[in-house]
Amino acid sequence: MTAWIGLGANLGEAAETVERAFERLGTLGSIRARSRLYRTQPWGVRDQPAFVNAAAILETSLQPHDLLAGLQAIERDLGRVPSPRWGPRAIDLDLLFYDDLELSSAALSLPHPRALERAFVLVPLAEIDQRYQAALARLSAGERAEVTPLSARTEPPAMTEQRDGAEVDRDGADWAALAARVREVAAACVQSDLARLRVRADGLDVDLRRSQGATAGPPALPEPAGTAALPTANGRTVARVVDELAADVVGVFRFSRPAVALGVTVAPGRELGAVESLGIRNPVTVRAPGTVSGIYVEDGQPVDYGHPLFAIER
Amino acid sequence: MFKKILIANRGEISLRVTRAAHELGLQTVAIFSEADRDALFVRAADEAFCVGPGPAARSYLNVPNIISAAQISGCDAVHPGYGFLAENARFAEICTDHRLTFIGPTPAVIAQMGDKASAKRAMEKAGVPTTPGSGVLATIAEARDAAVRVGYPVLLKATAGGGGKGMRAVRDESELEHAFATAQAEAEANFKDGRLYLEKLIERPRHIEVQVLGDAAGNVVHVGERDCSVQKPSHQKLIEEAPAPNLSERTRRKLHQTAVTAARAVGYTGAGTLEFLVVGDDVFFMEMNTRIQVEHPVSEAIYGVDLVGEQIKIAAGERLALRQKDLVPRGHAIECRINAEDATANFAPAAGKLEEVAFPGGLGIRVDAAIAAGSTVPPYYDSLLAKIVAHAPTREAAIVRLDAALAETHIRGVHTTIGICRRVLADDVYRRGGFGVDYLPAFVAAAPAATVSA
Repeated sequence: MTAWIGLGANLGEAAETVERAFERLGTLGSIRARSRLYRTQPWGVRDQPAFVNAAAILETSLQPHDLLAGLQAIERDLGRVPSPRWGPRAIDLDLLFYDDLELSSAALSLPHPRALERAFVLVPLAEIDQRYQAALARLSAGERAEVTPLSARTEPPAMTEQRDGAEVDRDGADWAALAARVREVAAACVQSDLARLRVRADGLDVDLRRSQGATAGPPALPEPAGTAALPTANGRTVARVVDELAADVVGVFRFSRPAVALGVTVAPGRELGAVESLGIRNPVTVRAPGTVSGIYVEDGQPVDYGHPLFAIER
Repeated sequence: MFKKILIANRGEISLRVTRAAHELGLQTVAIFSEADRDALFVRAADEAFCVGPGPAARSYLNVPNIISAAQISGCDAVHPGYGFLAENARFAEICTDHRLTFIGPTPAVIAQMGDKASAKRAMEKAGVPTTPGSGVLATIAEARDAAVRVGYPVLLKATAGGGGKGMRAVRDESELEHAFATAQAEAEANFKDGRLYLEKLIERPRHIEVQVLGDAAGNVVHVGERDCSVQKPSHQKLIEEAPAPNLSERTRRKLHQTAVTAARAVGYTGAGTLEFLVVGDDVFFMEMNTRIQVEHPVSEAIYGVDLVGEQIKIAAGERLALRQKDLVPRGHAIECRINAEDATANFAPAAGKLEEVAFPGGLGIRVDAAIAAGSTVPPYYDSLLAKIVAHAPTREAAIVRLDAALAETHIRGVHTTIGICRRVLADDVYRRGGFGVDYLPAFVAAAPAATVSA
């Protein structure tokens, strides 16, 4: 399985903490790609400490929740021990995507709900995975300018337009002009028959390609947030939105009567059964509307914490 | 006898209890957190239930889920191990309420010994020597009298105290007035209660503890003493041994007899440990641990007794089959705790994946562990990875054997205490024996960092 992971540190030796996190990520699988380190300075605010951000693509055999537990262990390990050598520090490891899986459970939502909204996630992500350059291009110039490579050069970024193979260099363009131009051309790209737009700048490599039929390449821009399912890691939007209901107490499971069957459409609040524990009924209810696509428990079966009970598919 | 025991613990002690239970022909049910899903102790038990997510408060301390797991798996007893719920009187009561035998002393005894003041009162009543001290001191004059009575140096303490607040060491009378005023002000500021008392300050004591076993019929035996003076700056033990070296036979007998008297006085049932501070031939009761202890294997080695097996048999109502005259120590045993810790960074705990794990073997070597290559060390719990115990005819031979065993031990992936343990075993002060609890902090402070890392 492939997981896309965002890293961010904000205290103490942040860059070193991120490097250590990369090392530790290697214990959860094999790192297929890792971005450079980026410095994120909140736009217009100079008196707050900068963050260090990065991204990684991890090949892992861990299931999503186990991977999440592993990431949290690294967070705690690297974030909690104030030693003489390092000052206090904190690190965030966000599981952004896991294959093309969409799921929501109490502990984990995939894709990460805010993955495609923030420049500090998208800039490193786009460096190692071209498919996110489209999403990056939708951010404002100011948002993107908050995130710069840690080893940032001071000369102005160069811009290359690639129009059906022809390249145009634009030395000396400033950031705002560049960003405005990118947005303008991106809009044109969507509306016209322009096949591909590529913008290279320091720390930024935006590659917009127009989708040419169902099977051709990654998609263009993602839908505006909130109106549809988020694009997934491989760029396809899939209908697999699964809400997994699991036992949160140890006990014996009993179906509510009549017992629900596979394929039945259920509404939020519907009680599918209960886990009886120490004489107390703990109801299991539907959280989001959908159809029952999985039943993992039998009537009267002992269940422990986290035992999967039902899958509800939207 | 029981049929099936739930083990309300994790790691090596869960595996230890499963081994003892299986030898007695009993089944075990392990509990585990989501962070321990793939741990070895889970597989060793006959059944296992996940009781919550990684943080202990939601899993290993989740009493409703633990009791529910015991009920639905048909257990008739609960072994609490050490730590977590082992000395929680309320948990012992809840077990009883659900017709589960708690493998340990009664809730009343756990509560009595768990409270420092009531434990001290019970011990004084039984004639056990405790740290000399005073009642509440209303005035400086009272403090002066009390200090003279117990003898300088003394420690002024706040009755509402904790965390060292309102505490002052006083070396002689000239310091008393100032110390009394500042301790009182500090106690007032921190606890809104300026009342003070004082105790004799026991300097550089040895930590020596005595293992006892008691049954419901009132029989009590001791299973010798352990010297646990090699303690980290946090007062956690690192290396323990039995018997205590360089201890006069008179003091050793006094410790043993005192422990048996104390256990009998409180009606102790099961395995327990009385901890003492020892200075020369003076012995002061410190506290009683009403559970099996991490370092119990050194006593098992020299006495040939299965202490966990005895716990289970006593809880099942059996009378002690061991008689004091049959309990004769043989040789010397030393245990090193292999923790996932960085000895160069004040023993900061480490977590991660263990890439390589190789344990020693051979004559007189015992390894209690629940890890293997590929195991994960979760960040939520105690950092103990393994206990390596060497048993040999003499202390010198045990040191040589243990050092060779540590040389064979390879754990890669996290920092461990193997290096610092080997350095201590090679140290002249350790080899002479008989030092106080100040030994290891001074040793670590004096050693260049590079030489104590693994």
